[in-house]
Amino acid sequence: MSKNDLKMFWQDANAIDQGDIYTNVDIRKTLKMNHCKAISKVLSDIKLKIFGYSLMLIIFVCLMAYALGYLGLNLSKNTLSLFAFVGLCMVIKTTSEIDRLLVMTDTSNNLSVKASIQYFQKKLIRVRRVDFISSIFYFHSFAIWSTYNYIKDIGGVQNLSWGNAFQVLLLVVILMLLLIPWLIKYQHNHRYKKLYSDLNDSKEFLFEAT
Amino acid sequence: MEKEFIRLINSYQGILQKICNIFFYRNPNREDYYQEILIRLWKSYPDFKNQSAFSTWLYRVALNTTIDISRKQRLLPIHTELSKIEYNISSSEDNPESDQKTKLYQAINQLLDIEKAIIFLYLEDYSYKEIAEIIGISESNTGVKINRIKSRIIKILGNEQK
Repeated sequence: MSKNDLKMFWQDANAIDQGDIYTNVDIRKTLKMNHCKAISKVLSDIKLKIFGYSLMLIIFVCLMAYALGYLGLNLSKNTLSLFAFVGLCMVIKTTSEIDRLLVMTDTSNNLSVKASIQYFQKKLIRVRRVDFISSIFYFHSFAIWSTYNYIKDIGGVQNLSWGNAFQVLLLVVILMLLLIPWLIKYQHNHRYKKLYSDLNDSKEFLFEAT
Repeated sequence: MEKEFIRLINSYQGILQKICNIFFYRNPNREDYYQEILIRLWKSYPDFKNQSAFSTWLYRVALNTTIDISRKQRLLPIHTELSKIEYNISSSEDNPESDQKTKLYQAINQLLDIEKAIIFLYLEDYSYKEIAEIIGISESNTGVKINRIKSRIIKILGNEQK
């Protein structure tokens, strides 16, 4: 078959009965919906996760406020650090699901197909950047706060010793905290790997020299 | 406004169904996605200001929606894999009459979404100018892209025949 036969081939192929599955669609009813069933299900699953994580986070914050504020419990710095770490993990999990919802909902229907691809890619990159910057802020502040408090507790930098197992462990934890933003970036790239590669392929195809 | 919209949609229904068939061939959610296209068209309809032909606007919104749904499917790996498996099983069970259609759809199915959109408009007899307007590239670039996609399809079809 030659290139010129393609149109004829297409017309012949579409002349064959489509086995129409669309006749059941009631247009009037459809227009009253927000999304089709399949998309609605995916979106409500994500919303449910966001709700779950947010609820856990709120309960956690309230319990902490109740214990530390109302009951006036005097927890050790190590215990406090652990709780703060759990809280931060919940924040990251919630924001990650919110990101997913943002990626799944925002649309640009009226743009040209090329502009729409660019718009979506920009949005995806913006989500990654916001995540990265906010996690740098969260985790690096936490690392600095932990380091400052620990050094203050042991009476200065001169008292740090490589022979102390706890100090080495703390150093590892702080290093991990410093690395978490890059881990989040990696997680984002991994989660949306297929999307990025598809967007890059599409852009490459559209922008390559003619 | 709703009456007018439904009247317009009824006259372009065949095109929307073809778009669904080409992007979601043998996908169990095809009917659902057809509904999603209708919903997006309805939501975008107030923004349609007669600056372009209705069909051009309709193609633009419908193609953007299908590409968007395809992207979302990529975020759900299990679902995509299932539909691929289903696709292969059912293609072997096809009757000889629809063999031609199956081959063509299978070949188009191997293209990128953007390539599918361009070749669909070409096969639907749209001019290079109109395709360029919907896709957002120059007319001369459109011609080059169409030629490349056609060559790819011929190559895929040729390989399948061998």
